[in-house]
Amino acid sequence: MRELLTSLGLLVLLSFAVFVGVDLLPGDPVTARLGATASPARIAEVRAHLGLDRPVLERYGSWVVGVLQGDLGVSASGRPVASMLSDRVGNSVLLSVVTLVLLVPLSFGLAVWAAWQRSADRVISGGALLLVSVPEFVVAGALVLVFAVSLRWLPAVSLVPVGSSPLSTPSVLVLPVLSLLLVGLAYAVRVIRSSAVGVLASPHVEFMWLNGASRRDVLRQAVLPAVLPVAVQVWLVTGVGFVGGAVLVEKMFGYPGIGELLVSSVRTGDLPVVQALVLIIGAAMLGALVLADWAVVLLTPRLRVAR
Amino acid sequence: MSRDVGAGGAADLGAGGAAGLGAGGAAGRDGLARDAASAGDAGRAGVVSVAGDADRAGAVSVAGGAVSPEVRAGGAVSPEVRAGGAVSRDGQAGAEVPRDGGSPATQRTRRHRQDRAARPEQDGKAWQRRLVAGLKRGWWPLALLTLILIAPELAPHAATDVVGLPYSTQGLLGTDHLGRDVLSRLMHGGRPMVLTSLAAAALGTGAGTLIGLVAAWWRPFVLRPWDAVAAVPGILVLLLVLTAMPNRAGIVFAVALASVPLSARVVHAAAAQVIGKAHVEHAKVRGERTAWILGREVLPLIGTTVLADLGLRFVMAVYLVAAAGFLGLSTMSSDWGLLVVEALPGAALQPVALLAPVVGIAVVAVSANRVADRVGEWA
Repeated sequence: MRELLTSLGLLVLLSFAVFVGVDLLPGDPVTARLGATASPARIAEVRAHLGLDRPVLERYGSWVVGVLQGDLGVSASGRPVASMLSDRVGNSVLLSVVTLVLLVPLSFGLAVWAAWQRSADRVISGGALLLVSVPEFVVAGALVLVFAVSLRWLPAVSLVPVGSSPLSTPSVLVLPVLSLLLVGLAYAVRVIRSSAVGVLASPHVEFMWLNGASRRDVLRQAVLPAVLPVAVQVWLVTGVGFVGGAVLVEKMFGYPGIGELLVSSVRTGDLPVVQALVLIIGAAMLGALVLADWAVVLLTPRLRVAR
Repeated sequence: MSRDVGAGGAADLGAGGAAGLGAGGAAGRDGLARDAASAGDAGRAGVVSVAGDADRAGAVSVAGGAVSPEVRAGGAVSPEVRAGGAVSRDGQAGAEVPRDGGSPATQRTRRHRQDRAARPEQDGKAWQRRLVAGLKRGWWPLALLTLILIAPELAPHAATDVVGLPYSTQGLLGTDHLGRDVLSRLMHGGRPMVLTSLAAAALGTGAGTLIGLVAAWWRPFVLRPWDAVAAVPGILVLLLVLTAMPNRAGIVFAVALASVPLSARVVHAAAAQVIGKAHVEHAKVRGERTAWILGREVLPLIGTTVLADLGLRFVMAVYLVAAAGFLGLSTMSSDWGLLVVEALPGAALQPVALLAPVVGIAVVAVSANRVADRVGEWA
């Protein structure tokens, strides 16, 4: 319960920081968008239109009241933010859920395999280091070159008809999911593998070997219980990261998710949309961290008893 | 327990990975993936230090002890990447980390044994020799860095010059959709990208070190507000700051802001160990000023940790700066991220224009990771 309250406090802090921070920063979104040649009258007009002429605390207060009532405000383009977000959130969640479903067994299997067998480890760890170092769009770019340009198997751009779900044309999902999966896999495999290596080198596993325990027993009784808490944390955080961190992949393929919306909103200086998105992604992230903490306590008998 | 499970409570879990995750976990996947190593740092720093490394005498080795298990674990893997899957060049790292890792505990005892064996010859010269050897081993990334920095002077054309027809094969790498020379654009784009990343990494690590030191000296509570920042993926921080400051200073500031929470955690973990030591207590009793103690008694002992962290922040900075270019939010005319976007529509006609920046970013990112590993090993 305490961690839930802490996270809630952090979320409030975050939303406040976003509000005030954007206000305090030396740049001015309105002047920056309109250009240096814009007339003062025009700037004042745009500021008034966006509500930027009111004091920042007053704006924050009315925004919070709105959010509590389920109203995320009105975007600079005049549309309510909530309606702009509704489809997009679903698309992004779909993307991350599909990726996560593939990520969980793959990362666990590869990581334990890498910890188990040295020859496999070379390839897996080397690949993971490479993928973990590069931005998603680099991976995505390479995938486009191979699958869309050379082999022509899949579309390079995820064109989804307005109002329909990406599920109606599953082929557009393949490359975005694959890009996210590879990068997420690299990170997850690195963390899970290092945990599994630690377990396999520990005295109690050696004791099990000396007692003639079978490979399956060692895996099931020693490796699995020790690695699972770590793995669950990684999966949760990675999964949420997909929703927010898929910005680059969504932009790369033009996938209609929240990441793509976020980028276009930043470009047009559409603050209400940016604030709403940061709130949603931050909340998801903090929620996942709380869940991850709970999962660790649940999966670790020592901590469970200590409660 | 709550979030402390992640923060520093490695001892409670006994699993370095889990603890590391919490520290970086808050950072979101973006920061995280690239921060796998740093997250590990924080976690391992916790594990190693809580276990009490009293046996390890000497300033540098204490600070190094906090970081190196993770860094070394990485180090043992990476020579293969460099050598293209060949046998590990670096016998030392390979020998030290059998099966690539081992538990923190076994690694520790192993290093203890080595330390004991090596101690008689461990004078100033041996240290220098190791530094030189480290530089030698790190020549490749350094040469790459130099090459990138001087490349704009050598480029055959300006970044925006039209030299031929669009998508022609003129020049080494052909031309792009506006008929500009891809090679020249690539050469011009490297320097601003690397310099921006360096500035951002230095700023982020600097501020993070300051906050980490204050947190270690005063109250860990100082780190709490930064958890809110850490909960936002780095790419989001970047977008947010660029909404208000759409210029290069904005990129530097955003990347620094995204790195501060991670740096602060790593430095806090390392500094907390040093602050309990006798010489610091002695300085306190002597009545030295806090700033003096932190700067003269604490900071030198965690210098290696800070340097290794700087390397990791640079990796993250390259990622974010390239991402800014990719998203069209950079002000540089031939940012490598921008080159990727521009090459996308014509990828079928001119695949090299897409391949070149993709390979370029990958090479810079991987070698920056290698340098960060190396710095950790100097300890």
